[in-house]
Amino acid sequence: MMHARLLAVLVRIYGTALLICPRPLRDRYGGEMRAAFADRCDDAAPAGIGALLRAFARELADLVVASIAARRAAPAATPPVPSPRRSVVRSIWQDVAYAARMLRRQPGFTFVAVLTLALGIGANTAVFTVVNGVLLRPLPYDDPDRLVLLLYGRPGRITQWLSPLNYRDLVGQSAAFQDAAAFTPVTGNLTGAGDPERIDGASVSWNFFSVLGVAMREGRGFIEAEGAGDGDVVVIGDGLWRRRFGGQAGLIGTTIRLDGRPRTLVGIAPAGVALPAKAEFWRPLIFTPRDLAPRSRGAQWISAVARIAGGGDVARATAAVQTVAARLAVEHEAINGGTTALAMPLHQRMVQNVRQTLLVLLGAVGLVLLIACVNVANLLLARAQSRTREVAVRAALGAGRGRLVAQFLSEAILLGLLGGAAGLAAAYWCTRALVALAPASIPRLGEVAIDLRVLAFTFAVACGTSVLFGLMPALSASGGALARVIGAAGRGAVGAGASRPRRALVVCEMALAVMLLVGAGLLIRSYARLQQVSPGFDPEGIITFNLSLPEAKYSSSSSIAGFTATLLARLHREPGVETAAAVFGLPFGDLSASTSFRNPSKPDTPDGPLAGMRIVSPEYFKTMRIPLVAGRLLDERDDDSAPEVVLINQQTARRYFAGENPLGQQIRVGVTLAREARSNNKTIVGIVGDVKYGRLDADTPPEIYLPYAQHAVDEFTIAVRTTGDPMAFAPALRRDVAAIDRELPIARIEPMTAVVGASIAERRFTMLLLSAFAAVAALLAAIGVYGVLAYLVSQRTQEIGVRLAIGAAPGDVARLFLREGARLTVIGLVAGFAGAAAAARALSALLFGVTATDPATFGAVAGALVLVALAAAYFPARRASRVDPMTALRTD
Amino acid sequence: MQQMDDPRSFLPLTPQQFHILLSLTGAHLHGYAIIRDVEQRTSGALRLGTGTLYTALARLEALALVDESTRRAPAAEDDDRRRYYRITPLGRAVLTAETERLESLLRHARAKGIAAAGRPALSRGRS
Repeated sequence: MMHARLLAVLVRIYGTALLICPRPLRDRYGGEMRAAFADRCDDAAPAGIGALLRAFARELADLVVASIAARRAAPAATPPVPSPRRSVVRSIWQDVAYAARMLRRQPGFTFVAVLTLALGIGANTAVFTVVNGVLLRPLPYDDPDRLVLLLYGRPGRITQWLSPLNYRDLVGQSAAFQDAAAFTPVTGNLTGAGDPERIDGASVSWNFFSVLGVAMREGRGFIEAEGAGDGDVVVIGDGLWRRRFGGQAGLIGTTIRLDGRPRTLVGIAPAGVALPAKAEFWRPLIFTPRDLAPRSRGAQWISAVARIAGGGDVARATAAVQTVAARLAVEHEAINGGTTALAMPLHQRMVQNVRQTLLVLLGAVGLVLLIACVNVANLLLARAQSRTREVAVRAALGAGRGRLVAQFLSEAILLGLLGGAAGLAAAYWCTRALVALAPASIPRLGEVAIDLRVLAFTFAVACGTSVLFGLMPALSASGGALARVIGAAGRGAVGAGASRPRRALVVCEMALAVMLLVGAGLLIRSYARLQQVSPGFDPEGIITFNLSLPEAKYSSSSSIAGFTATLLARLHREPGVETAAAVFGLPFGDLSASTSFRNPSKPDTPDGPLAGMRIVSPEYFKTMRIPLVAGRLLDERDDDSAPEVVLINQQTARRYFAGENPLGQQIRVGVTLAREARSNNKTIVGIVGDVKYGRLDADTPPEIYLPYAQHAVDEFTIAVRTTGDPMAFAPALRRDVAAIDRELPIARIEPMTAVVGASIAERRFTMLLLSAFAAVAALLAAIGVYGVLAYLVSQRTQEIGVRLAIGAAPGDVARLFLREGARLTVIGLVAGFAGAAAAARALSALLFGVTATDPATFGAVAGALVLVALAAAYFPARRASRVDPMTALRTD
Repeated sequence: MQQMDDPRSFLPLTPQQFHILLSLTGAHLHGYAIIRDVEQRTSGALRLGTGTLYTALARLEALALVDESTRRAPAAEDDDRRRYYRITPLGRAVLTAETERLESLLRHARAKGIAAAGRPALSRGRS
């Protein structure tokens, strides 16, 4: 799809480029040439976008060469008196040819200018493309603005989880919605052809796809009877279809095996349908009588997506569900007391967490574009000044103002085009790199494709800069005062005023670079601080993997517990394995649950304690090296027949047992995850150290630990502490699992350090990207300082010669220019700090452990920039000190 | 305009012109088909750009060595923008004369003991 759009753009560009052909050729063959060019591109496209762009470049070059050759051959056929129109075309052609020669004669200038433009265009297009794909582009559903998620809970604890009863009442009793569907994430073991694979999916109401308004790629969504349990059916996503079934047609109606159970494939969803995130299959959600029993009102495990009825909006939908929630809070005081609900646009909810990051990156890359433009402007001004004499001479020889303008215009446009072409390639590679490097937590990255409108916009900005500043010399020189310019040039000095705009530009560049450096510095310090945070356990040497036991094969608690015990025993016997444990709710892992609990001896309150729930086998604490604070750990005696026990962490003890000894007290837990678990009062037998769970930068929540033997869950993580490189044990672990159950897939086998690392991957990504931008900015600023000073030195050679001749020491001369460099730097720093202090507020949400005005960061940036600027000033200053007075005085 | 007088007055042909005439010998082709035909015949050594092709074609048409064909491709593959070209009798005579000229050049070279090395001179074109 992207190829087709790109192709259309390329053909259009080629069509425009045909203007350089001699007119007769264009009139007679233009249409055909466009068609032939399109054919060429069609042939190149299947080999990839690289081949396509190469073909495009080759065709453009060929067109230029052929046009030149045709014009050379043409004069014989030209009528003796050229028509005015023809002479205009020819003079434009002359200008372009002259401009090309000028650019080729100064390869250094051309290279730096084109590179700067390409960097600015490429980086901007790439970042904006990602922002557009993730934040701005509508979801691939019908009228997606009317889709909302229902959020529910007590103020401060509002989540997207509802109980089936609350879902039914919230949706059924408010008239705001046209339709609504429930869904809940599940995972499935896909077996059959190929290796067993664990895939993410969801159980969804039968009308799920019609609420979203998704047109199936093939087949259909679910029908009402299937929502009532009629037939085992499944819909799969486009990604799974391509990856696992090779995108083969005619699969509808065939059977696939999920969790050991055959299911009939009724539909294939189009690409981009990802609700919940990462879901690759959907099966009907069927509520059991138990789910709908009044006592299950507190069991929150489904999410709800709803379509707002025509004429309504999000505010009205929120008001409607709030009204219902208030009523439910009164009617079911014991469970729902104090709760409220709201409707949040689906898209907003999806990108909530990455919005800030992406906007910061967008701002940063905008600064890079600005700096790139300033730099190009600076280069063009420098060149313009060195060509003042050429302009004056040409004007004196009779070149009209129009001709001069046209000539500089064609140079500027040619430069812009070159920069744009290089920018197109840069944009393509930058986008690819960005998508490849981005952390998995950024949603919708699969949908990202280069945005041509953005490319066009940045291209126009870059070309505009180039044209604006490229024209300056022509406009000022043709404004009259030729004699002054020629006279001044004759004396070898252009007057102090000429360099003022360039100094101003350098100061701007410095200030912008300072802003980026401060931003990058703050993120680097945040990241370093975060890495020093102890997670409360020791991730080194641990390897983890996830298992999900299919219900068809493991239907009882005893069979689940039996499997896990056998596996742990086998793993334990592997040489090099210290300990092995099963855990539901691994820190930074993707399984988690939380529960309310209460002290049975105290009165029940609606705002009762809430804690994260972890289910662990006895060796868990030894494996993770989580310390025991008081009481005892779990051990082998806490089995299914023993009295029910529970451990709590220090945070739970602090928050809910302040001033008491929690040991020996009893609690009652609101949720059971295992199918046949007992849910009587449990005795607190120990307190363990706090562990960070979801994020390093958040406080540790209250947690409770239940023994696995008493709560055999069928989905869990195995953590194995090894004595060597943990990943070296992966084959042995796979063998052990396969020895017990050959059909059981292993998911996410990775070292614990990677599990923790993934939680800060997004920060790392932002930090690296911003650092790269800042480095580019500092480099461009240094080029700017160097350019201005080098120019000043060359302009003042004569003056330097005089100074040296009348006794100034070379050191004094060098100091003169170093001082000038320092002056520019200091002004830039001050302006930049002011800008950074203002902009850093936008960053504050991304910072950890540093303030937005961290003095150490500002100081380091100042130091770094001064060093870079002085290095850039050093070379021109040295050249100034080595001027030979006699030579300098002799130059005209 | 051109009298069908002496084909030798058109010589020498450029390699591109030579190949285009060769492509049109025995077939009426549109522009891109000529490009592909030349590319295949020279095993990719001569890849005419669109601009090069049409400037050469314009020259050949102006010299009346080729002209536009009225023949069209089957409707399904046809495209309004495409024109088909054929070689004229004059063009065929010029092609023959050029081939003779090249052959005689080769004879002279071989007589001096110079053997072809590497790629044939004709297919060495700018890509």
